[in-house]
Amino acid sequence: MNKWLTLLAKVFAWLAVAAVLAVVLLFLGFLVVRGLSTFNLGLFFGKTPVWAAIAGRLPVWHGIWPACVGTVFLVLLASGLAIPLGVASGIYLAHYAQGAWKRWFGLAVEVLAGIPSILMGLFGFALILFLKKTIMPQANTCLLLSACCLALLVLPYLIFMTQTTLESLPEELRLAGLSLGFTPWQNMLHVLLPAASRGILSGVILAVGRAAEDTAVILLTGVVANAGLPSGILDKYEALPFHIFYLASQARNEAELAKGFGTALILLLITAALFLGAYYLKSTVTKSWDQKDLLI
Amino acid sequence: MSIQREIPLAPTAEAALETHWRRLNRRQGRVQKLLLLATLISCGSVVAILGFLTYFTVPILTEGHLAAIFSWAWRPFHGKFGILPMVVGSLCLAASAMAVAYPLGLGVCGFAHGLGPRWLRSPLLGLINFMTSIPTVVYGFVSVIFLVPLVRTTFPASTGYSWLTATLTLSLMILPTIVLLIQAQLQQVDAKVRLASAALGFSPAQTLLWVMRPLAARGLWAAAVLGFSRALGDTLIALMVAGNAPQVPHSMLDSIRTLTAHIALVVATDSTSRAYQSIFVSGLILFAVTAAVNLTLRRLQSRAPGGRRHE
Amino acid sequence: MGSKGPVDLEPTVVVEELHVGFAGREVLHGLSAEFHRGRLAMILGRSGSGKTTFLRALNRLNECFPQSETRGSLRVKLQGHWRDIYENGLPLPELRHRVGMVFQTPHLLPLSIAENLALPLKLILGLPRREIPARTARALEEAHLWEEVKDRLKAPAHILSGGQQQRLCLARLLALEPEILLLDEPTASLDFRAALKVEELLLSLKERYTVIAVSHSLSQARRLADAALIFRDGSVVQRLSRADLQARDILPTLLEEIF
Repeated sequence: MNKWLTLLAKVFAWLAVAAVLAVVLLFLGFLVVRGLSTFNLGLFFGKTPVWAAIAGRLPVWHGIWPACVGTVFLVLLASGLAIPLGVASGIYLAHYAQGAWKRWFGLAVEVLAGIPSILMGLFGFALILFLKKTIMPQANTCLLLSACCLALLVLPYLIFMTQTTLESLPEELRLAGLSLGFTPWQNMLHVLLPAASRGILSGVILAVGRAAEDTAVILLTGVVANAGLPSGILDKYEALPFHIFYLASQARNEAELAKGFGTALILLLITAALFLGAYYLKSTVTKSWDQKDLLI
Repeated sequence: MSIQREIPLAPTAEAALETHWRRLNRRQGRVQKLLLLATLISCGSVVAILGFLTYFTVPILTEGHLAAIFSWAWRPFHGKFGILPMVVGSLCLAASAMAVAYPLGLGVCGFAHGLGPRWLRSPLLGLINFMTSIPTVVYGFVSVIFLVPLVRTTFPASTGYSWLTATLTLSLMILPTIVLLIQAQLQQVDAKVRLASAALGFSPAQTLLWVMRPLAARGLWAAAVLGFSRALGDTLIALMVAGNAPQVPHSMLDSIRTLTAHIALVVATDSTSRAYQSIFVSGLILFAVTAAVNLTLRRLQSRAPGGRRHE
Repeated sequence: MGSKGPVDLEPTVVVEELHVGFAGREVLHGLSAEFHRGRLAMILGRSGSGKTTFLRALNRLNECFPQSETRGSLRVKLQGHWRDIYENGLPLPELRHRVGMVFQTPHLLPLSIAENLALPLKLILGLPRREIPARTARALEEAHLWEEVKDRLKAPAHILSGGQQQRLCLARLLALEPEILLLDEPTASLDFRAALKVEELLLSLKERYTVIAVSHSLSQARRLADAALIFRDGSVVQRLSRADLQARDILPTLLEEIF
């Protein structure tokens, strides 16, 4: 009886893996093949001359350059908001928060991490509605709003990575610094944070990747299909993920569809590169700790 | 006999040292307050989100529209704003996606931990890990171009945008979450069990099925719960390939609309305030369900390493 | 310890009725002890007997753990004056660099060798930059490390061997000009030869400082200690002089106490 069950399980496992591998490789292959064929300057700049487009002198109509720039600005702004906030919170939770406060804060971060991205967008949208009704009737969805909502979306990654990394540093490291006579903050700044830097950096990279690929939040907070280069943080803007979404339903001909593949491949390359970076950092971090555990 | 220091500090140097330490003390206090402020902002945002959702839902209760919102027909031009079809849509899609992804996930994990050859384990898990970096919108895009026509030609009765299409795409997207969570748990159990089991003469396959599986029960539950929650929270895939018809499905080829897609659609089409009210109720429902899931998850596991994945 | 020591050595650390507890559970029960400059005192005992807690009480490091309670009198003689370590006029950083501690595993900053010494000098003592190189060199000499690193002061500290790293930690401490040295199993993570070098260093240091060390090794105590305290379950069960340690017949009882 047992033998048959084991055999059945093996067959099932092999089938499952075969199915998954087939689908994933087909998926990636399809994307890469059709995407690569569109890689040329035209994908980015359409018919506009390259330097004029980069300088912003001439608008780009059929290229994804404005979307690229929009994504870059969006991610920079969101990261600029989220990183200080997230790392500071992580430090506080790892080393200063105690008892009930720590539990409640931890709970809040966990709930925040579980909120679906569409609700972050809805929050931004609601914020604008609220402002319109009350103190700022000219409020509208824009780059700044999207950046704020994206910052909220990626905050849990930063807090989690910072807190976990700091908490897994060996206790003696903290004590060694304090026993020399460093104040707790000097200790944090000069001893603990440098030791935790790799883990924190990998959290930053994860957050940046997540901000770059998100579509649901920006859908509700100001992204549009045609806005050119972002002229200010209170304006509408374009972004790569939305471009892909738009082309999926609104592509009018084969050429535009092909551009969709190109854009999708570029976005994938960006997120894949960021992912690999974060993965590499995380793996070097855990390696050094495993060795320390062996000493004890 | 007094102890002679090698270099006695002059009185002025001593005073300089004192001010140095007093300055450090003050900075210490300021820094701690700043860190606390950051934490309050981060955690307060959850309260803010909940607050806004509630604020915009309150008029529904006061105006007595609750029954209308929790009805079965969504036809805004006829004044009907029921979101129950979307609730059903969300649940159906999440359940079906889990029904496909969970067994596959189990199979993949089993393969990696004894049912398959050891040398395939790292590349396989590496690939699954890599899948977590694929943007959701890319899944949706490839699905629209590739899967939708396929469904349309296989089942001529449907347009290709259906519950089935969304199920297949969504299950692919949540597969890595399930696999990595179960895999993390199995790895923990594996370390404790492998030597003893081999000494008893079990093959790797037997170890997995009879020894590790019962011990890994927690991780298995956590993966199921988290996978379901992620499937519920997905917006893009449902929006792009599920069809978005606000109806209760009778077959897998029917077009359905989820709560998440509903929110996106209503905001995009900029309609009446009654419609807006429906999206805030939808938002509140989603918030409540995912928060409940997360809190259950907290109880289920202390801190498993693959427990944090991007949404 | 007091009655057996030479009459012209005055105590520099006096502990009376020390009780230390964590979260309501008492770890040290009413300890009293005295330590002198020019002598190396060793604390021996089983794991969990409270040795490290005692050491940490002397530089108030126990306060870094949540819910710690300390009662009793702890006085140290710093710069010729008796100070209570809890008195208001003694800032914590000052106490901690005058009563310096070295740990079992060397914990160096991720900086160069010179910067490992320079940073505490700058941050803790507020020393102006021009004075730092001289202090650094002197500390490295005192730690018997100068000859080995003088040509590569800018190299990262982690390239040093285990024993060199531990001596670098000592140098870092000595640069701050402490008066009392607390050593928590200083050679536990080192191989035999490196440990011997550190022991040589400790013997030279005891001339100028009060040295209190925790150790697991009876043979180390016999080599180094001028006096020993045997801990068990949070109390001192035996106090031994150098002569006692060398005496053969004490060995079996000692072994039983410690292991």
